[in-house]
Amino acid sequence: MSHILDVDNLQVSFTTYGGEVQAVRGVSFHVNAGETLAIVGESGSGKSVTAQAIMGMVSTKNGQVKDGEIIFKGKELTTLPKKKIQALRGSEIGMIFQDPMTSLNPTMKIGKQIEEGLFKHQKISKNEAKKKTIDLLKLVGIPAPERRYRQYPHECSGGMRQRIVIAIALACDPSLIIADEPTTALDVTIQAQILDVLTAIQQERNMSIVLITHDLGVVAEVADRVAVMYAGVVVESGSVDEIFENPQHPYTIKLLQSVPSSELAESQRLVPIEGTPPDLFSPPQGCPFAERCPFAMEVCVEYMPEEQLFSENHYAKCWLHDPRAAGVKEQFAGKEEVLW
Amino acid sequence: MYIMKRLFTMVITLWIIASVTFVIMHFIPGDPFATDGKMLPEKTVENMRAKYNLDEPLAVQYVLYIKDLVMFDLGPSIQSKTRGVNELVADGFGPSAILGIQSLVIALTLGIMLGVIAALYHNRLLDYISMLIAIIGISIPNFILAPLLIKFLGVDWGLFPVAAWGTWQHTILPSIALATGPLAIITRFVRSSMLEVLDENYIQTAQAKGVSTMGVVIKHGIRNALIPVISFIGPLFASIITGTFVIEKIFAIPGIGKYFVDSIFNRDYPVIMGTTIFFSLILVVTLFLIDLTYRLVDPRIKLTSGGK
Repeated sequence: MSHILDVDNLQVSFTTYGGEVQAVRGVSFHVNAGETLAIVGESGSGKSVTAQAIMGMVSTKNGQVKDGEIIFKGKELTTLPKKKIQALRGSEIGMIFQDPMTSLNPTMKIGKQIEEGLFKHQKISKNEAKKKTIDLLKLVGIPAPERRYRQYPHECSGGMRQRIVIAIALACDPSLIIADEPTTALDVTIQAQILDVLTAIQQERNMSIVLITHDLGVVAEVADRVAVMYAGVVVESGSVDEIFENPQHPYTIKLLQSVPSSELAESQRLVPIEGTPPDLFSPPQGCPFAERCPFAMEVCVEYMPEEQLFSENHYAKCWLHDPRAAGVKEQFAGKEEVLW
Repeated sequence: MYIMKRLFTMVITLWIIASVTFVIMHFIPGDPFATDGKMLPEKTVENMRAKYNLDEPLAVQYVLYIKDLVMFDLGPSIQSKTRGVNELVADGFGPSAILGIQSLVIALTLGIMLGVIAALYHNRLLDYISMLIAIIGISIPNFILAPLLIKFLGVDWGLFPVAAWGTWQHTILPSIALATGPLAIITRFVRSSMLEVLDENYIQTAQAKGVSTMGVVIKHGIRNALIPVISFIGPLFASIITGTFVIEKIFAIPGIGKYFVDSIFNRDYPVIMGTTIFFSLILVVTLFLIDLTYRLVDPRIKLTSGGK
């Protein structure tokens, strides 16, 4: 399988009145053609910023890509001139946003908003564009597309609007879709519908999706591989089965424990993760999770752990899995039943 | 239905304004003939008062006035023996309207441009320059700006006529003087409104489509940023179009503003009433048009006639 997107050691900072926020601190991952990579993490872990960096849109918010590479189909995006990035946006990479209630222009007709991308990237006549737009509306499951074409966003429900946002992202048949929490603002039944639409189109068009979310239920449902982010770093990455069945990083373990599921026994309690994520104005030099980690060792505070490989695709950044920490791991072996 | 209802309320509004003005006007001490320094024979004054119905009780005068008003007759002017108030307003409105529309066009185009530029270059040099222009525009009253314009552009450099009314060149200096204040206010309005809009999610959506920065601003930014500005343009338009006394005085322009002020000093009752009602009419009509414009600019706004 070929990589369609390679992100290597990406670092993004924002300049604010309070100083420099290091939102993304050396993130690496890749996306294969036709697969769905889920980037999971809590608010402020840097997952949305990573997405914006891929779209070349961090600079609009006082942000700056400090270091690293983003290679999309062999092209390095971070050094690409603005015009070339704009040519890629919407045509090769589409983006779906979190809040459908505010991501559509309230004073522009729906049809026009979808067509805008088409006119921008393709030589296409008005009639062709209209036909294509109506096909897109059909594709994302909007009934009476001719009527919707002429309507304004406020005349549609949240679910409808998210379908329209998806139609906008799909307009030019991109090979990569970045979906930044596409279902967070929707209620559960609509969430499922939207995910179904996305995955169905993905299979039809062999598209890759980078799905950014904090909802592990969504991840389990649609992702092929998962990258778990914490405080601007990918702490664990692997296939969806590896992450859910055999998590290795304490943060991933804790995260999974904090999710309610129907299989939980009635007496079993949900375990919250104690503490708060580190302050990214002055991020810790060691493992960012050390402060909250039940297994933390001295080395964890001092040095950032290396990747520890568990399989071809599965790694975790944790000292616990370093051969030198084997003894410590033994100590916790008994407690694994409780914590693992 | 909505329009019918609005027209009805407009008439009611004008009637209330006319009545209140009528009452307040007669509370001002003095009357049109008392202020005259020359001693007129008593009989003459009496005749004059009778001619303008001033000898009738106030209630009767009111009824007579409203009767004429319904027939669109604003009555005779006391000062001008030859022309009625209708003619005064009609003659004066032309120059005032031309000046008003010209300066509004200047204020709107430049104001929107500066505001948008300031927002795009937020906290950078161009923003500071725009804001400096805006602050200067707000702080310098037009009765100071006007003589400066006359001195430099008119006298020293001889680019434009210094004063009076005639050719189009005559309208330029007063238009500029009249436009600066509104221009500055519009600039500030547009800037803050645009800053808000640029932060909206749909701007990101547009950028993600690959639309260029200019395209995003023009297609998605400006229209949305102008919605809050429109409500401010209504009253501004009305006041600017009905003339400003100071500018018309400085440039010796035969506009309506002159009559507005002179009539009060002269207790020229019909002219006070006429100009006030005319101003109110313009204001009420513009506000109505503004509401219709809202509907065009913002599809979310529906005009309904009831509180459904």
